[in-house]
Amino acid sequence: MTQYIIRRLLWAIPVLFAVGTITFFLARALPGGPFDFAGDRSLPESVVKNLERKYHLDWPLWKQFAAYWWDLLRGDLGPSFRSRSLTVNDIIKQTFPVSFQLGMLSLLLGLAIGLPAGILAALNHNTWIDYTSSFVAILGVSVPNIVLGPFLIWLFGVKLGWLPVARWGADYTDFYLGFIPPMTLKFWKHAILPTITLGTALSASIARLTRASLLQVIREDYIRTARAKGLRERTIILVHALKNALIPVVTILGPLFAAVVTGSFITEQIFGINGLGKHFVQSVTNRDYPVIMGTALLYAVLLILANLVVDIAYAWLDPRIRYE
Amino acid sequence: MTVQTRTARLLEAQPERRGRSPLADAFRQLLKNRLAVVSGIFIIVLLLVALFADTAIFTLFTGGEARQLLAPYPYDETNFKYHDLGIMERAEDGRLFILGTDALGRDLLSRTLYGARVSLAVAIVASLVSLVVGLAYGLISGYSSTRVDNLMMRFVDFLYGFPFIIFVILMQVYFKALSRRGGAGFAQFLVDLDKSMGGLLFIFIAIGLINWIGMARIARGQTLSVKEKEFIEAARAIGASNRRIIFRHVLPNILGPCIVAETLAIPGYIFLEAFLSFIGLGVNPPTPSWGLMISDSFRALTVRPHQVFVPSLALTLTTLAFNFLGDGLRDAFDPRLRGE
Repeated sequence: MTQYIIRRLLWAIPVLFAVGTITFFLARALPGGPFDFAGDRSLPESVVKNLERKYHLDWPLWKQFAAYWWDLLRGDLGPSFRSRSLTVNDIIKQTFPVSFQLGMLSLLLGLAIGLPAGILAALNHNTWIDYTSSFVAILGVSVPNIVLGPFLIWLFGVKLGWLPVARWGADYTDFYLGFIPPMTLKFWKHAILPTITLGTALSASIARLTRASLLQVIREDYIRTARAKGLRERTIILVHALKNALIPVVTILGPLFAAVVTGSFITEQIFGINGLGKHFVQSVTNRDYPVIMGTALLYAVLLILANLVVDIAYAWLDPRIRYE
Repeated sequence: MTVQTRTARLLEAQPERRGRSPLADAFRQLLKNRLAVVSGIFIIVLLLVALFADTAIFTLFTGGEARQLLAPYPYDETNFKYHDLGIMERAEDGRLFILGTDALGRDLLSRTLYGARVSLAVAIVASLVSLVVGLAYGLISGYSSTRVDNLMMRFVDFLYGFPFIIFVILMQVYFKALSRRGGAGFAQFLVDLDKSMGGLLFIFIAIGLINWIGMARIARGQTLSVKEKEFIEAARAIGASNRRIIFRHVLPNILGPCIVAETLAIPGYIFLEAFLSFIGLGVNPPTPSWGLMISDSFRALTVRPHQVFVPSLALTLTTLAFNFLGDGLRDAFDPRLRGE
């Protein structure tokens, strides 16, 4: 198992290199440069020249490319061309915990609603519970973020006035502690709407998959055997059926994670949350090359790690799967 | 009862069973699902609305001005006299816009009807591209020797670590800049084509680049399981060529699950277009896309929420229809779920 994990991590190196290379040249192919504008007026040419010299933008492209990787190996993601007092490391430290909190809360909401709803629907197959739950679930996967977000803002923020309509309730604290949601009322008031916006589709797709998978499992012979042995119904479902039914659910968590990333881009945009996704869109508009690179690489690392965790969980749930 | 009459009865009992293809069988099953049928009808109606919003489809080849047909007004007719009207609210001179107007005085109903063009074009083109490319890739990979298969699937695994949303945003910014600046030769041809499509071409390319990967995995898995079946062995034993086996035996049997997966993926494509238009990287204004309409009126949400809700409703109903249809198709193709 350890060997397998090491091999998978080594395999990540060429992926990261490819992602970095494509992003680097795609970003450089964009017309215009990072110093075209300062605010709403353009900079004098001599200033632009000096700035370009300072950030080595006058070097040949291959040299800049090599220098980027060399700095990266030392853990330095470079300076931000736009926010000149900050490095990319600073920006990631400030914005990534926010995106992480949003993503994790939504994923937790998805599991907390999706799993019980799917299980209830499957256990009450072809009853009104099943029909209601399935209908709500299909509605949930069909409502896009850009529809749900504005609607929630209008209902709870404007009409009822219960909740704030924008921003995230936690400021930059410490990089490591920043990942843990603070237990303040302000934070949760801000977090509710974005979390629901991003989490609804997740919980709906988890519910649909859990239902389908559990329905298949409870028809298996070993469930009948367990019943014949006279086990309690709760033991049969929780111990025997659920563990096997969860396997497809776990496999979809990888793609769902990618969906969270995409969804967080939209949600941060709608709610004006100062997270990594919003920052990325800005950095592309500003041609802030190091920020573009840093974000792309960070998201690639996250995707690779998420897929790895899914595969490990997979082996744990299904002992027939052995990685050698 | 003699053996003869029993055989005769058996033949009589299932006369229509013979010669039914899996696709026709599934279609018959689908017609029994009311929600799926209603959704299918909704999508067909939407398609007709998109085609006949104006007469552009007739003037496409003959030339000349397109006239309004189903949509009451052109999508880009701005008139500040009529701006920000509510639903069924009459303008001062008595003119009526059924669903009201936006901040530029454009008719919301017309823009929503025209918006179906963008969403459906994305749904159809993106799903066809992803289906054809993914199916071909997965089929070749699954049918080939283990070594080729491993190599091809390694490439797919490789792409799984790619944060595609980032590439899509970068590419869209690049394409937008390209179409402002113009290019030379083939690039200029693409830019012109994209302009004539209101900015849709580059969205097709972006979406197509990403979405074949999932389809390739599904198609390969299906191919692997089908190619071990006895009827493939039988076909090979009587000397059928690889080409014949692939096109006559493997493809028809894996097509069903692939179509189901593709239908269920369509809402994702529609979302992606809406998202790109929302952040200003989608269709070119004034081309009406539901995502762009939501983004346009999002700032006025507090005072004129209906400007956001009208395109929102259209978007949601469309994705809902594709999801119901996809669910119905899945039940129709999966014999294990039948008869429940």
